[in-house]
Amino acid sequence: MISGSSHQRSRAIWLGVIVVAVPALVGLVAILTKRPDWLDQLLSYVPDLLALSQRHLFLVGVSAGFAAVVGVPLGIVLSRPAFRRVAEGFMQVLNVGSTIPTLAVLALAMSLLGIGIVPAVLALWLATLLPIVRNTYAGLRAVAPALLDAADGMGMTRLQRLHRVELPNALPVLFAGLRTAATINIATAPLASLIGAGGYGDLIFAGIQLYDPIMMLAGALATAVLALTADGLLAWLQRGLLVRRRLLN
Amino acid sequence: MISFQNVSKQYGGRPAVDDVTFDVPAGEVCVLLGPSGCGKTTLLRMVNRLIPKTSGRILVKGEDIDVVDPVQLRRRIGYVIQQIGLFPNMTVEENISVVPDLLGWSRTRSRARAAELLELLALDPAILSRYPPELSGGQQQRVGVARALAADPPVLLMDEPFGAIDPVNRAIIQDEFLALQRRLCKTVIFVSHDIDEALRLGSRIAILREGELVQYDPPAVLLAQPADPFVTSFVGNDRVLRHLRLLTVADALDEDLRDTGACALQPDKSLSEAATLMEQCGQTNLVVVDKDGRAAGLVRLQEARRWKEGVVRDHMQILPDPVHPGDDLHAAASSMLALGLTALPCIDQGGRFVGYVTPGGIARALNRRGERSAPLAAE
Repeated sequence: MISGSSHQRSRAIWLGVIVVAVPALVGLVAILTKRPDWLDQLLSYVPDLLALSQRHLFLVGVSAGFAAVVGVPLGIVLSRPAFRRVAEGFMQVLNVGSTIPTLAVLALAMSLLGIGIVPAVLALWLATLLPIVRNTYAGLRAVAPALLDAADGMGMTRLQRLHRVELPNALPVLFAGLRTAATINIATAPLASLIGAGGYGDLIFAGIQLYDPIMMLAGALATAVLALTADGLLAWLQRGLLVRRRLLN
Repeated sequence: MISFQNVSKQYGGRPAVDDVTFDVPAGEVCVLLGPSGCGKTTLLRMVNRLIPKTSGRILVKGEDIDVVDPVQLRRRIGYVIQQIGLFPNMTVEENISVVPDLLGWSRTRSRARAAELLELLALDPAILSRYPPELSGGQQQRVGVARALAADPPVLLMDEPFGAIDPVNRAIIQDEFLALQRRLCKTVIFVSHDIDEALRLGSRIAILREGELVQYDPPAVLLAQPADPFVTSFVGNDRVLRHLRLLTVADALDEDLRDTGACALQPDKSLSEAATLMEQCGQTNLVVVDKDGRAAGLVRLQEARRWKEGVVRDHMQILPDPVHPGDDLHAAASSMLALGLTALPCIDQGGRFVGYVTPGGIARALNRRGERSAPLAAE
């Protein structure tokens, strides 16, 4: 299983906190100590943030939604025996595709579709698609052969086998892909501001250009909170769906 | 019930099953036996069309399986595999109800059937709402069998179903399977690589080697008359001992000692009389029976000679674990050897002495069995 044990995962989280969060916090404290009124300033961005939230959520919702709607069926199709030969090649293409920086994808999308929401959604959709397709495919391929043999031997049709046996047993891995995808999507969405699509990126990039760390911080914090909330919601949904069914412990 | 007619399967020109022809009569358990790679699983999986045949015909209940839609065919044939393959995303109840659900039974009917099957397999009804990973290996395998029986198919295909269970529980589940089979009389094709399992469960055994059917006979014939050196080596050099498992104590009661009055001792007999009687009977021990015909103990020739004076009552030893006519002869022969007796007294449920198991009696029983089976083997 891709997600590993919870023990390993919690160790990875702590490692991440030490490597990323501690230096960031030190820097933050250094900036904030020069600005005693930082909290008031930060709170003054709340109305802006609320306005920008609509756009950010729209970008995220549409692109991630489309990614799920396309990615899950694509993963299912690729895992079918008829497509098994092309599936590995296709995965390689997706893997290579995912190494292209999202910024470059945004630039490409802009050169094709101009500026605004549409190219931004397209770029975010592409960035999000890979983990969903890959995990759906991997989850379905990892279903124990004995389960498939039993399902066939009892007289399930291909479709019945897929929805009664394969998908339910692939759900833990599939969900891990959805959570990764959602986090990537939300954290990448600020870049969309660069091609005029709006969202929290407006505050972050304006803050950078004006050398206003508080403004930047307001956008960054909002993005982080949204990413964590979305991940938490998906985790809760996953728990409800899977733990009750004993697919995760 | 199931008829294989010149069935072959080739993988890239290499035959996995080669021109196999035999019939499995209704209500019998046919064990496909052979070393790994002999084609037994391939043959089994061709019956429900999980593997397509290269040539030949298979008839199930007189119907050519090729004219039936494979999905419909499989729903009418129970299927149990070694890895069990219970669906972890479904409760035990849902797992058992898979085929009834596919067949469109009403929920009430399929749920009632699931509860009925758990009872049949002596499983606690409380596990209906549990998930497979919460069950023990033995429970999972029983649920696997229940699932295969759910829609009451006349035919069961079982691919080494008890192979992954530890030896103690395997013996228990094999006994349960036999008891179940006596009640349900399904036609079963059972794949195994274990000769003891085959002898125990099979009413007929098909021995396969490199895709060819080498011998197809009831267990007793297989042991008495192995068709060729391969079968001989497969059933083992100790096949005579294995054969004992197929016989009961009643088969081996010594006819020369049939007269239970003449070759038993009374408690008030003198030891010298006892020694004479033992010598006459040609045994080194005899049973002591009271006036109601109940076995009270036994006296050994050695003892009788040593004491000379005195009566049997004072020198008899307690009878070891009683041996009954219906017992498996293998166990009786083991205790005979362990106790060093030449004549093992056999008693009925009421404690009455009915006869002796002797080495001669066992040998005659084995021979009789072989002779009686001879015409069958010639078929």
